[in-house]
Amino acid sequence: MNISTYALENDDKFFFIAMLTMAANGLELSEKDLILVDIEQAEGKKFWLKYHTEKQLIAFAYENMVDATWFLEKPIQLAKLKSLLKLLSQTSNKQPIVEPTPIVESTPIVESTPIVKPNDSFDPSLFLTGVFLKHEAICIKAANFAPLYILPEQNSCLTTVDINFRHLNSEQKQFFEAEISQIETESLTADDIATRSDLYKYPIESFLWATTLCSSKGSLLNGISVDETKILLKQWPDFSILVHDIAHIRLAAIMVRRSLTLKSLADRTQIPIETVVNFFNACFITQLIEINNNISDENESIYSSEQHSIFKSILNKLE
Amino acid sequence: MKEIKLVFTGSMGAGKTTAISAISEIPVINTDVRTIGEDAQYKKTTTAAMDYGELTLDDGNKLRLYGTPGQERFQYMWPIIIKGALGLIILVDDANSHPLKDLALFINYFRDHINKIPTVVGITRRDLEQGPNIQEYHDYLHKEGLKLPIFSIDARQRDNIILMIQALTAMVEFN
Repeated sequence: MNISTYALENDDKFFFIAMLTMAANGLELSEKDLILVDIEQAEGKKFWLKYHTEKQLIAFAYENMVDATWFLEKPIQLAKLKSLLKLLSQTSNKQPIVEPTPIVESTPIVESTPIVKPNDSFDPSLFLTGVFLKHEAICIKAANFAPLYILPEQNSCLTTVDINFRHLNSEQKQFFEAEISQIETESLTADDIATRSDLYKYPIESFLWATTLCSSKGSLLNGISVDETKILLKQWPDFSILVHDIAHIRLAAIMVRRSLTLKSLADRTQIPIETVVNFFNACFITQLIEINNNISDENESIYSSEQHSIFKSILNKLE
Repeated sequence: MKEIKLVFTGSMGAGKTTAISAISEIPVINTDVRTIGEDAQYKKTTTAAMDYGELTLDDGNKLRLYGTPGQERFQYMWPIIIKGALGLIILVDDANSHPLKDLALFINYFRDHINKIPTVVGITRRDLEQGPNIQEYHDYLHKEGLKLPIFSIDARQRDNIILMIQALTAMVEFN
């Protein structure tokens, strides 16, 4: 299945591309050509009206106001995209919908190119991250770690292990790096563990973040370019509940202020590109990233180097 | 020797005195009085003038740690304490009845300073799960045009206070 996009805003386009591989994992997809069209954009609406009877279009909006057969609700979420792909794969396998009409080459209407997955890209579905992204209540066993109970409805993970996300031990790191083939899962309901008093409770976000950070190993999520895609952090991650080190705090400080490529970030901060990529992936998976190709203002710093050195000496004293 | 000052402000009972104690090398000097009004049901005494702690840096300079009084009736002390501060830490008690209003009070009052010195927000007592989720605090700041770090913290934990100072340091480095 080849899905192109039309009239999507930058953020939506990148989120769509990045989530597509994850959502398509495990589905048998046919060789259909589809176009995801943002019908809330003037251009997209025009395109929809002109082509919806002759091409296979997926309407993208907050509401299905055009009563489209294929519809993806805004904002893009993995679970919704997965349901749509499932529906598309089932339908296209049984009763093909209108055959796609090739797009006239002279009309540059389709913006994106077919999605190609680079060999070294990070595919969350191959790791523990993919299990968390399914939003299913399950019990996980992996890497000799105590069972982990995931309850998405309560936004919680529970385990008998007291985890300090600031200082993971090697056993915990191994668990967070676990590949899908090493993971056993069992279905779970909240009632199964309701009477347990020996469990520590953590936000799912802490685990989603940790598994992505630990298993990325310098490989970037699909659809993002190290030296072309400019990104911005929507807000500071809550580091108090997330695995982090000082490099991540420094990256957050610059990423909330400036729209930069991952390569520029590594250059400016002198932080290894692998660390920058791992951090980016974790931020992306926890929905903290905004794609922003605008040029950031390069205002003169309001702080002096003297202030910075005082803060550093405070930290030296405290750490 | 110059005065290097870090200020902890925030709602009553948010943990300002505790946070200063977590990193001060001297016992925190405070000026507690009996709490009055509605707040008295939550805390018997509160800081009247300020909390004060110290940390001697390697070059001999002293970092002075000041905590503002939490109750609004002692607001007259706030401008005195904030003057010349290197950084500001705002603590909000998540288990208080209106934590977002509390945050708004301190953001509005210190807005001019926030524009000039690095500022971080620490939300305490999140474990009680009584207050808004962390996103609601961010949403409020975004409406105010601010992108400050917000961390769920335990004011008793030295690591948590260090995290806030690490964020202040990074903000100064990459402003």
